[in-house]
Amino acid sequence: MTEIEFIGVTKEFASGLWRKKTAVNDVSFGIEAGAVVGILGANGSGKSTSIKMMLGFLKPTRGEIRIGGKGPYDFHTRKMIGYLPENPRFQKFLKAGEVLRYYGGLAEMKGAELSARIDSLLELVGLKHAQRERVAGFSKGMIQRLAIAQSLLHSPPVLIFDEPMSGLDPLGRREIRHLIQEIKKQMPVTILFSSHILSDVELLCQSVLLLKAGRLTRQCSVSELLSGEPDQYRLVAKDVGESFRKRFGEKTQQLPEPDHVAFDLTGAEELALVLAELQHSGGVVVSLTSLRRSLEDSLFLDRRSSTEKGAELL
Amino acid sequence: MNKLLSIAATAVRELLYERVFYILLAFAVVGVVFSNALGELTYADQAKLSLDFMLAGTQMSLVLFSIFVGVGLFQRELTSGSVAMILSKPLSRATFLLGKFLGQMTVQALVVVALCLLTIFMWSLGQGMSANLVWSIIQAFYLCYLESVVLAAVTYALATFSGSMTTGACALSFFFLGHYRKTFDLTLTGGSVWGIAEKLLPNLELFNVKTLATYAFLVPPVEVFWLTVYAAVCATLFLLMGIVIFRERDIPT
Repeated sequence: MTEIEFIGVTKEFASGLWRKKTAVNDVSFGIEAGAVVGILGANGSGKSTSIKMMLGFLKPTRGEIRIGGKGPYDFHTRKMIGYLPENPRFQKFLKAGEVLRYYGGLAEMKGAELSARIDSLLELVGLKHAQRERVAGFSKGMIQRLAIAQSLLHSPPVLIFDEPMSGLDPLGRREIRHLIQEIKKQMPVTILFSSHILSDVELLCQSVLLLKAGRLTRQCSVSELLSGEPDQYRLVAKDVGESFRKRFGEKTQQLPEPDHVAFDLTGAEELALVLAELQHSGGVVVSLTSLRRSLEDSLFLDRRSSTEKGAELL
Repeated sequence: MNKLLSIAATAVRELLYERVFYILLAFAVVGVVFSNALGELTYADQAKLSLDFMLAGTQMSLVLFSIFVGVGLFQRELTSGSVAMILSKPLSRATFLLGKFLGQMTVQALVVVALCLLTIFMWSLGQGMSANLVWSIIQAFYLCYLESVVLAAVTYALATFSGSMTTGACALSFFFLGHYRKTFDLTLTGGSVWGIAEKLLPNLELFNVKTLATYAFLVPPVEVFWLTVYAAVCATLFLLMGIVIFRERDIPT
């Protein structure tokens, strides 16, 4: 069943008295219920505008948006959506528990049901200890986790996260990533989130929507996007013999640590060959890392490959 | 209704944490307390002038409170983006706007009651107090409050489509035009455009009974009732205008 549907959606903003700027241009796509989908694109590509149209903050100039079969302005639609904005802000004088009680009230929850939900969500996002602390003293990561909790309050079947990892340090990003994975495990939800931190999308999403200058240039699965790229590996070894060095000299890179060398290898065959030679020469494998091209390489850095794929990605 | 009250209750708490609220409150309290001293500077009618200063100080504080606290309370939610999480819930934009307005009006009512009691107390320290005078002071404060309700509604209507500075400046213009319509009629255009504008603008001078209060003259209760209706109609119309604009506009957040 299609949960979120864009049908020829265009959004134009006035730019000066007569000029118009098109932020989203004739975008159509559908997202199946239960999917985790990432919206990818550079700044200004129309990701946030698309999300704001889904939430009814912006009215499409043309086209139609349907969430659960209804328009974004319908109250039923709002009950279906949990939203995390890019930079969530709360009234600083409120305590974490009060924030959730306030937003829960707005989401038509009350009494024991709301109290139980607040407890379980604070537990889920790891803020149980801070329930009685004012938001003013929260770190960016804590605010983000609290905002995720408020988006889950009324158990919505659709979660829309706008840049959920934006502005977080690597540890904070990992925590939010784990939290999203945990939510997906515990609840049957459709998750749509925008990001330009591509490794996060790669780790979390089943499929992606690629936007460029307001146009949808591709909708596909992550594995499909990465397919066709040769596998690359980095092998670090020590105590390799002289004959080995001579044979793979051009691929060998001396590391600062004594007797440690690294090899950048392309394809499984080359890897197997090097491993066999290494074993033969008495070398020891220190580490082996897959250098599979990230989405960032595929989409933002490699213009050549994007044209080969027949898509105008960048 | 619960959502409206929830937003109003949070707005009340938000205001109580506002620095600008305490600055304006301090301004009003200092005005009332030092009015006695200001009255001493005049040659005659010192008591009446003192009361006039107290009421004028309260009126100005309420005007500034209505406009600048209103702008802050509503606009900050829009500019900071916190409105996005609120409006993503099953809640109409009208409820959000009315909730904020209701919260502000509640705090303003408490401020008016406090200032009214302080004025009566300060006055009773130095001057003789009659029942008529007490009631006339209460009437003057009540009508100041009604004026502040209309101005706050104007502020909210303007804030739905313009920035903080423009809203503040336009709302202050409404206050001056509302009080000095006749003056502007004589000195500016006097033409038909002003004639139409004059009919559309709320006549805030109707709420000004400061001079009557200083002479302990009471406004007839029927007139107070009709002034209440007039204020309610004006505030409702401006709020409706704000709701329509706010419902239709894009919220870029």
